[in-house]
Amino acid sequence: MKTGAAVIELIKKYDFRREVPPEVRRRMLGSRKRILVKILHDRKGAGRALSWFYLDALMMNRRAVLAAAMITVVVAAGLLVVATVPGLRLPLARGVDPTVARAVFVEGDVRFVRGETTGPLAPGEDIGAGVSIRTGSGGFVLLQVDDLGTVTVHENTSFTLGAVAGRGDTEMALDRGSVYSKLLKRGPGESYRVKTLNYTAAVRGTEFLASAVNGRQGVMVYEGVVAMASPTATVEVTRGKGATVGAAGVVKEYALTEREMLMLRKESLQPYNKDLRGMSTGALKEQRETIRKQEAEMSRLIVAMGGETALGPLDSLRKKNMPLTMLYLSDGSQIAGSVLGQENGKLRLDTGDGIVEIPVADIIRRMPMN
Amino acid sequence: MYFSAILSAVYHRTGNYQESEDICQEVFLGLFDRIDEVNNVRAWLYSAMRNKIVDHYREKGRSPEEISLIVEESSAAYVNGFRDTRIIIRQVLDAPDTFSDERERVLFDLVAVGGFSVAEAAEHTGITYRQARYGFEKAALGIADALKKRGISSIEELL
Repeated sequence: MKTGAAVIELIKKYDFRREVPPEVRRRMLGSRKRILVKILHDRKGAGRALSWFYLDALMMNRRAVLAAAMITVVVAAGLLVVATVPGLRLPLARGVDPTVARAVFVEGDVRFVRGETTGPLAPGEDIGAGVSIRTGSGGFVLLQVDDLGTVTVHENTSFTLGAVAGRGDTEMALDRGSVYSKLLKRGPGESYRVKTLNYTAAVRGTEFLASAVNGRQGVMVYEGVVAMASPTATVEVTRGKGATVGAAGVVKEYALTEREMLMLRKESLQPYNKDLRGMSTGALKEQRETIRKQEAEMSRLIVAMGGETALGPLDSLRKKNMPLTMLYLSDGSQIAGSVLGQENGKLRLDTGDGIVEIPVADIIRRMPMN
Repeated sequence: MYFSAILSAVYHRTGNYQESEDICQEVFLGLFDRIDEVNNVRAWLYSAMRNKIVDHYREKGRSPEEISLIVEESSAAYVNGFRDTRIIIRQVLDAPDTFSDERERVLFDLVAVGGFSVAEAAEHTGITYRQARYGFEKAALGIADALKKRGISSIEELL
């Protein structure tokens, strides 16, 4: 005899059996659910016990529980698809937050400073008001603000996001270096300003390069109009013109050369992606590679026009016909330059500004550049 | 999990389904209000069940003797000349280590004591038929082991 059957016999024989009639057993199942639900309704607020009872009540119907679980899984999977597949993205989720700048492309030495926190800036990171960006030699970052446009931060630059608002007042403080702003058309009451120690450049829907390099502080305008105000004068700088501010606040306007316009055109290659958040990392990388090729082509034209480029040291390496390589490092940063050789486990790289030594162990990948 | 076992126990004592439901509801309402203070849910439920049955019949004007007959278990009583064996079995059934968990104990109560089929017990405890069958067999083995510890080498000896 099986143990189970033997135990039932034992219980019967020794009069422990308290058999419930079949009709009552059937009614019990219904009353269990009814009474537990009633208890739940009568005892609102005792949340700690709710789950205990509710689960018990739910267990009454395993099919319902399974169906609920399956529906939850299907809905969650659907939401995941909608959230991750660009083509299916909901309108509300489109674009980036207009009150933050998103790092689209990051190359070389780029760091953020937020209060007392500092660290390398990674592609896809959001930067809010009050955050400073510092780029080192060969560093580059493209920031995008939804409804505003893009800001390209060049190497050896330090600037702070004063206020960010896609549709409102946006202000950047440029301490040193240069940034290229490519803005969407601004509406009434919407302003964009770049402030340096010596001047403020305010614009609406334009493209311009603002620089604050020791010997040369000023703007170069590729599209639109920039109102440039120094402590002593205000001028409107139009397309194809530049203006510099001297130490005494004197503003000098000048016409951009063909070469300088070509340099700005090269800057203008950086894209504004309407659906940035919906773009995959692969798509962004592909986009960056395409732009890099176009940049290289334009750099060749710039170099052919004569003179050193004012925008980057890599072009000077190109001019010397030195092969360029992009190094991807283990801390997530990238650095570009021409590889000179390798000694004692360190790779020597000419960045155009100088020679740096990078531990080979820190290099994850090398990519030839045009 | 305990609902059907408690309702079954109340019904067995009262013999009236509607009254059993009312008492059972009172018992679980009490548990709901004191869930944080209760350590042993099963023991609390059976104790509360007895108290509620007493209260219920007091309100109906039954005499203490009648109430005692309704409420008291007959486990220690002399039945069919097996008094000592019944006491041993009762101790085994009440011992905390006879069953590996409370679900096993409830399955045992429903199937062996309440006369539920394994399928019905599965439905009442919210598990599959296979789980209920396995759980009940485990409960039966637990009882056999507990009896062995008390000097009864096999259940068949007692049948």
